[in-house]
Amino acid sequence: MEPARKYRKRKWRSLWPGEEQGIKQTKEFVRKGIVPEVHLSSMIHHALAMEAIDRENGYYDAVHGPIIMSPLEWELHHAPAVLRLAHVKQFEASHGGFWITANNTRFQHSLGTMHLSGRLARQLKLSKQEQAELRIAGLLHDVGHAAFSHATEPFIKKHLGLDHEEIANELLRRQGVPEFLERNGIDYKRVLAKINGEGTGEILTEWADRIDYLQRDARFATGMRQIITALSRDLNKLASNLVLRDGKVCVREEAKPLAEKFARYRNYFFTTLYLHPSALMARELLTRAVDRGLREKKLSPKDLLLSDDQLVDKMLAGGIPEAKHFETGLIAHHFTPAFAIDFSSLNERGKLTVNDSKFKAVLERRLQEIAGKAEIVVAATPKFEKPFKYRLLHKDGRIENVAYAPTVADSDKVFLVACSDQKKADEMRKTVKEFMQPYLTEENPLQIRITTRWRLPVAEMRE
Amino acid sequence: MPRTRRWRRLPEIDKLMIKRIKERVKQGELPQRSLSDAIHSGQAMRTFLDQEDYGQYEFLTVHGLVKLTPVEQRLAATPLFNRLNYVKQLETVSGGFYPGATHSRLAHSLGTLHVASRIVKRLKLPPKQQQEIRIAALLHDVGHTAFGHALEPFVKKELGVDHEQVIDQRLRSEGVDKLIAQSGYDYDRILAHIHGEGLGEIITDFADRIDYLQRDLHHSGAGNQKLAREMKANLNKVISGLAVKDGQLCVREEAKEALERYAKYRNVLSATVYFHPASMMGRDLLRRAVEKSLKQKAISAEDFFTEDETLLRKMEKAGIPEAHALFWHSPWLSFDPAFQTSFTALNERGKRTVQTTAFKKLLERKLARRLPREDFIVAVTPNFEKPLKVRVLKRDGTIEPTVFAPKVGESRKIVLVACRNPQKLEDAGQVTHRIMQPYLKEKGAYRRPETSKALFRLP
Repeated sequence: MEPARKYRKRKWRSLWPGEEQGIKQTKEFVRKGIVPEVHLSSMIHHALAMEAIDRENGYYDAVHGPIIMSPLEWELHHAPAVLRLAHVKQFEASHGGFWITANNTRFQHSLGTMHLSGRLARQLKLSKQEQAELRIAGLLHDVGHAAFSHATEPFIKKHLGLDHEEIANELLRRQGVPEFLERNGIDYKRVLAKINGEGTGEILTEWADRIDYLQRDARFATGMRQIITALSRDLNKLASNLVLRDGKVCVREEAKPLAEKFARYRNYFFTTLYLHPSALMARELLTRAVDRGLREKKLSPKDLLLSDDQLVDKMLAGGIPEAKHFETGLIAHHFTPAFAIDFSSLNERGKLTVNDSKFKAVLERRLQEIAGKAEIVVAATPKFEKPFKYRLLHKDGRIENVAYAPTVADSDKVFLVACSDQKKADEMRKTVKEFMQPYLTEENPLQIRITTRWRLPVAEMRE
Repeated sequence: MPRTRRWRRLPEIDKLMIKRIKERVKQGELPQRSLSDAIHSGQAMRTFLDQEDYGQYEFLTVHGLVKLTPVEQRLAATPLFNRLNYVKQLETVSGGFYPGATHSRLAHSLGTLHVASRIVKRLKLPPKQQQEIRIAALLHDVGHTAFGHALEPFVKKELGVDHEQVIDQRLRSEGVDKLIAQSGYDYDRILAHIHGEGLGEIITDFADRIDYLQRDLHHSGAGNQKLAREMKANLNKVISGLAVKDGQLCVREEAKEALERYAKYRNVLSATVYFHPASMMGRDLLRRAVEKSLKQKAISAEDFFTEDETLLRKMEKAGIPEAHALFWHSPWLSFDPAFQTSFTALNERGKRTVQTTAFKKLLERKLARRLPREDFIVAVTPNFEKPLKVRVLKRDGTIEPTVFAPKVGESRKIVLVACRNPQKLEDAGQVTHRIMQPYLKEKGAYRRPETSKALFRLP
């Protein structure tokens, strides 16, 4: 008997009209020596895209290649709510963190998610109507995100009393999107339900969204070739192993290792990118700046729905001191770590405590006495390891609910105290050590050593 | 011949880190395949917080970890340099056809520093000269205005100085020259290096371009993985082929093949990215917005040296419609091609004429009789095929100046008239066709997209 193929192979898509012409032309370039032979496949790839996008509407994406949009989608993405996302970055750490090249915007992510959810919907053989709805939901799924999205989310909830799904609804309504969609035969309510992950919407929220942002951040933040290719290979295989049973998305049993890998990749990205020490610093500072702005009425809650740059400008105009770190970028360079360890050096009590806001407040108050006017950041990796829930379709047709929870090593989580003044950072080092003593294990093998050298602070340069 | 790369010696903390990561792979916490990446980024994370290394490294796409010396760290912390974080490398491409190309000039500057440092190390220059060339590489872009090259003509007109003098002015006004002098390096020599005098060619001819080619390809995604790999291999061959003979920078004969490719890459990227129709349209619209705002005194020459978004928002606030269009929609969204033809359809006279500014002005003037000025854009692919001039060092020790001038297919170059008003689309196309008639090969030989991008508008 022939052994069953482990993964389903991806089928080649058929050519768009006009693509054959593009291929012919490119081959002629190579024959004439205008384009070197090696570029052939790449040039064909590109010629195809150019041809296709010339005829239809779309973009050329660095992650997915050509993204073709239907006239309806093209019209829809003119909505200011969608175009605003071109000025909102995917993660706030890019404003001065360690991953300085991560300038990717939520706009490209929305396009990518639209493309992927359409691909998945086609693969799962949903009806044409539902495919169109899913694609539109993919395009609109991030509309409700505020500037610096995740850092400002708690404030939105507190001051406007809405979460980002409700804001999306509100924004879209105001810009007349529901009427527009209804006119074109798309049910707005069903699109909204899909954005919230109801029914087949989980194709979007559980899969397409995550598959896209992992690949995108790998490309623009790390840029490491191995990880880009590994991700695109594994995630594409996983995507092609999704099936629909009783209206629910399941993973084939053969692809179980891939689903687990997917969960591990996600954790891995959290520790190295989204919750990198520099990102923690940026997030802490931003939270403080926005909090102060709202308290002192320098900002109105609606300002949070502007673009990243506009929000920073508003805060600077209001004279909020923390905002100046976001003016020049490279926040990490304005601070000196006074104390930095990973969680493996913390004892059980310490691990439970460092994320506590009261603990942080006490430590901050103590340190502020030493620091005087200088700024302090106390940041710890928050708890982020949620189990990854998915449905597994066994070969006998049974569906099993699986929750896979890969743990993250303690050495990947960081507790950090930093100060904007180098001398003060040296002074407070002893105090922090004494303060932290009850929370540390006796032996700290991989304690991160503490810096003594530092760059010239920007403020000093200006004087 | 190009030599193989040697592994750098690992600091103790990295060794410990690698051991730990390997253990985690064994326990199944990390996937086996991503081992090398995990090690890499584990290192990256450590170096971020490590005592010895804190603040010395930057992490970039394309190159990975880039190490800075103390003097470079001080220079990188200046506001002058930090501003580049918000100046995009490809000024108007992003938001147009390639939404991914949002990388900043700061990343490019650090990348150039990295390539330059590889070159000077390989050439075994004296340490002081090495450092001076590295500093020049780091600072080579600080003279750029917001939106980089797009506003260069205005700088000359408004400030009365050219791009090279601007760098000098900017560096002096922020006190960077003193900072350099304090560290014991010669400011004038560094400035000369930035302008490409002497061994400054390392930066202007090689490091700068080697970095931006790879970076633009990576972020726009205009090619596939194969092209990226091939490009990296060839550019590395060019780097290892460099030599200094009689104080002149040459390339060894062995790397000639790689050099030919090197000359071609820029043309490939020019045709696909830098002079993509969407990008040309954006540049045109931007220039128009700036011209108008200068006339209305909404902005002054000093505003050129702010950041991209700041400048755009300032113009938008002054009520310049072009700036509004650029901020909220790229021209790619709001303009439809009314007339489009590639250079293959032009006759000899046409090929000579269409790239001149006089022709563009003529076309614009005639179109302006039918349409409001805001409603159309004329974009013609400029003459981007600049030859690459290199000294080739032959095996017998003689130096031969060589020119590489690869050509790009004419079908890649276009004449485009785009229109914003859907009702006038047909009209604009016909008018342009009539004007273009003497420059076209046959009557009616022009291409108009079969299904044009019909403009939809939300209420």
